[in-house]
Amino acid sequence: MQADNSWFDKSNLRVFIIFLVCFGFIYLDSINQKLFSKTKSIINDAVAYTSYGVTYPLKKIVAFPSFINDTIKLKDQHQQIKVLENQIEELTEQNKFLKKDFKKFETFLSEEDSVKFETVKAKVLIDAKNFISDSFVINKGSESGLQIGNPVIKNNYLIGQITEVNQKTSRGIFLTDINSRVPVLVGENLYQAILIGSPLATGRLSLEFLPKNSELKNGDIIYTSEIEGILKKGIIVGSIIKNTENEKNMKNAYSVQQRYEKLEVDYVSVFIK
Amino acid sequence: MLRVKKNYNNIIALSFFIISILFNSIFNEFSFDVNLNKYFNIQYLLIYFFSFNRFRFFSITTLFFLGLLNDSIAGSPFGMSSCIYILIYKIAVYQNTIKLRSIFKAEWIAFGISIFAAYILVFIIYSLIENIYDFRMFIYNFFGTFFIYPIAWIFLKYIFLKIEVVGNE
Repeated sequence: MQADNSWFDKSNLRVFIIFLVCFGFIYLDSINQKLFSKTKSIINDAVAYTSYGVTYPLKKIVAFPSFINDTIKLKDQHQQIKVLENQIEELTEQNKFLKKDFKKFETFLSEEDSVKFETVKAKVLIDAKNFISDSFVINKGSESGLQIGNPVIKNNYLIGQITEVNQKTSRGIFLTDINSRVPVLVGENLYQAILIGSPLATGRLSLEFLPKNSELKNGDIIYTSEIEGILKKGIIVGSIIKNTENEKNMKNAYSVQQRYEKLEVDYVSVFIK
Repeated sequence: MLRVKKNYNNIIALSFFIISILFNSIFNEFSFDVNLNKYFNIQYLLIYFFSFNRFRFFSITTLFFLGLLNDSIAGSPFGMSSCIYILIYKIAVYQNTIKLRSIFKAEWIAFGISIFAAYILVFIIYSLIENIYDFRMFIYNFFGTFFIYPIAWIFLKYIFLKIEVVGNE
């Protein structure tokens, strides 16, 4: 009888059943089965908010030394601000004629309202990284109109894209995530290329499918190219860095320096339309 | 009156593991941006250590739910971490039951075998589901985790020995 076999005892049977359940989950997740996706979405929402609640006091404890440091510096900063405010007042007085130009600019901006992008502001709840993925969870989901593929912006720079949308939370991937692929326009000639993420890249990303004869300079700006209904054209991604001779042998002639620091990512904006 | 001896080892071990899952979220408040998970996997290491040393909360059922929690946070295929955790757990427990002598070298090699099996499984799942075939990250992570084990072992043994002594006093 199987039950008498020492290898196939109760404990191993339990492990076998749990393995089957796990593989079942993986399969249902990969095919995006409706009921499973809904359940997963609820679990993800609950886990995201619970994790945020649990990590909040720990974060505050960890950040306490820098809080003390900031408080000490506060007096100096306050004095600096006062000096700057005085300078601003002087400059405003000196350049009254600029106000006229400013009014014209305001009129121009109001005319341009029709092409403004609609954004949703969101807070980063979890910064989730492992050796493959580089992602984050924000506190806005399908309720706020987010969809898969929406670009995520910080200080007007592209930092990633939404990959999973739950009801109250969403998951986004950074540009360094292994699955990140962003169509971009590079340099003054607006060469088309694909920006590819890799967790192995330390601060730099690689460009692929650049035209063979493309000539780029250090510091050339990289913008997003448009994918209709998904990605807006003209969001700044980073700038070009020409690789040294040694690096050229290993990979492409150019790499990309991102314009943001990941540690600054606490609040983000998401383009939704 | 007899005082009941309290041993917090199990709760602290479980807390260590949950903190390792939420590590990046907690420590991104620091002014540096180093993804330590890129170089070694603390979770695999902790599971092996706690399972090998038979900590109470590290059972198949707990690891199943902790795996789901990790998948939900990290965004990996749902159920994958549970699979990996249980695989490491089984190898650790098996090694613990068959060990003839308590030598560290045997424990370390068994750890290497268990995480090697785990990385193979992760690689298969990722290449089947997300079409990720870049195995360099798996190799770096494997060696990183393997070579960090002795240091982590000394650290964890010291901590839990101290806690046990304090708990018994």
